[in-house]
Amino acid sequence: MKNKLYFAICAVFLAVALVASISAAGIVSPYWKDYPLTMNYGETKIVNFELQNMVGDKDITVEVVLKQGGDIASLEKTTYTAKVHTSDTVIPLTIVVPEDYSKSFQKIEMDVKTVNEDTGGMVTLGTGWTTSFNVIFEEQESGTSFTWIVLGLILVVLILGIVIFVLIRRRR
Amino acid sequence: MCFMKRGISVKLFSLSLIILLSICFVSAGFLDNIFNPSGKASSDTQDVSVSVAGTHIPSIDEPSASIAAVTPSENNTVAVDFTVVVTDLDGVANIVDSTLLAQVSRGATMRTATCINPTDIDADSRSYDCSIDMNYYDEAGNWDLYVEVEDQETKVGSVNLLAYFTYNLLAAMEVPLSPSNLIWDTLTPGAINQNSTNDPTVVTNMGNYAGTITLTAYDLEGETTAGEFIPASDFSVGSTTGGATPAECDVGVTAVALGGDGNPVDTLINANPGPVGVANIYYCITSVPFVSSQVYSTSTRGPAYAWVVSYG
Repeated sequence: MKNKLYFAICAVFLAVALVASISAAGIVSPYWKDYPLTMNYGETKIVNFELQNMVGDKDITVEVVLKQGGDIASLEKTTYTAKVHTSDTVIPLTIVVPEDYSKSFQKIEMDVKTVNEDTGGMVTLGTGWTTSFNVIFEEQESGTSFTWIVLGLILVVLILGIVIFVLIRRRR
Repeated sequence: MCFMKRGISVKLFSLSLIILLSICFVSAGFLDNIFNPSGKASSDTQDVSVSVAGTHIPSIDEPSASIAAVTPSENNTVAVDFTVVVTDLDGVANIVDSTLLAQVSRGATMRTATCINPTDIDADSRSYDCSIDMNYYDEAGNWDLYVEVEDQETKVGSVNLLAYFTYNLLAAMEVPLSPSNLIWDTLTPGAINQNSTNDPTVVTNMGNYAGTITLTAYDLEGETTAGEFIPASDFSVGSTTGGATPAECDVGVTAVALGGDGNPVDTLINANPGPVGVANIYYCITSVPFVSSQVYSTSTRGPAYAWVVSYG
């Protein structure tokens, strides 16, 4: 009877310990495979990915590697740590599209993986996420230059009007 | 004198006529009494009530535009709060609060809002505080909003906003994996289809990633004699086990061969987003190479060569 009770208590403690040791890590992406980012040539944009660590009781450190799109995208650093129960660790990816960029779209791919402790055995398993999305480039609308042309024409007409008015008054 | 008398007569006649007509209209039974031979009233008095029906259809003034993207939270719900403003030109009393319905949907998935706190803005408009709980596993992408309300005359006002908000992608899983290392019994060179003895790896989806699981494997290096390897491409994975040829070893049927050293491979195992979002990975060495007798492991090369189970 005592043995049974002992095992039951042990089982409960083991279950509690297992539940407590569960963690979860994740990456929030504002863009993904089916949800591309649209940018203009000559434009710069910072895309913020968020590292979540909302479950469990351990900080989580990840390594980030830019696998594709390095000609227009860059990371500030490659290691980020999310404290326990936080979701505001931002991984900023800066995308700069040159005016004379030759492509109409570019795939951006970023590998994120947890920094592992060696757990022994033949194969140690780690976790990770691959975030990829397309950046589609569009020509910037010429609305601004059109506005300046119209304003210039109005100014010319006004000046001409004033000149004609002054000339007529002088002749009189 | 004669004209003056005539004028007075006309005035008196007019006055009498007005009084007579007033009596006729005010007392409905007056003429009846005159023309009724019995001299008794032909009808009783009645209470008359008049109800005026509203003619306007209620309108949903708010929400009228999309809101910012919403980010899921691991293994949890996240509240999407918004205000609904209903206007009925027949007055706020004509709006039936209990008929207010607000839903967001994406494809066949629908989430219904709880709307509380009806507050009159003016004589015709009333606002409600609404909130929808989005699950961590709800699909990433654009969600539409539909709001409808009825008035006392069961006239229905509604609004449909396409892409009301974007629900971001959260690729999240339980870490560390369980188990976080793989073990095989002692292997004999030339042996085929040898299963791991402590699999499967249980991958618990804590977000809304809906694709398949990718595995990046690295060659195992000898712990005693460096420079000898068991190639990663000698391994395979599957989501099930068992059978004459173990399912996780049956490449091309129920299993997928892993790539070369450091090459990610789509395992075709679904990440299974949902309230019980679990996927199992079983491992196999399809062919044990003829290498020297020693322990081979990923840790010989360092933690950077751990196999990576990933979403995306």
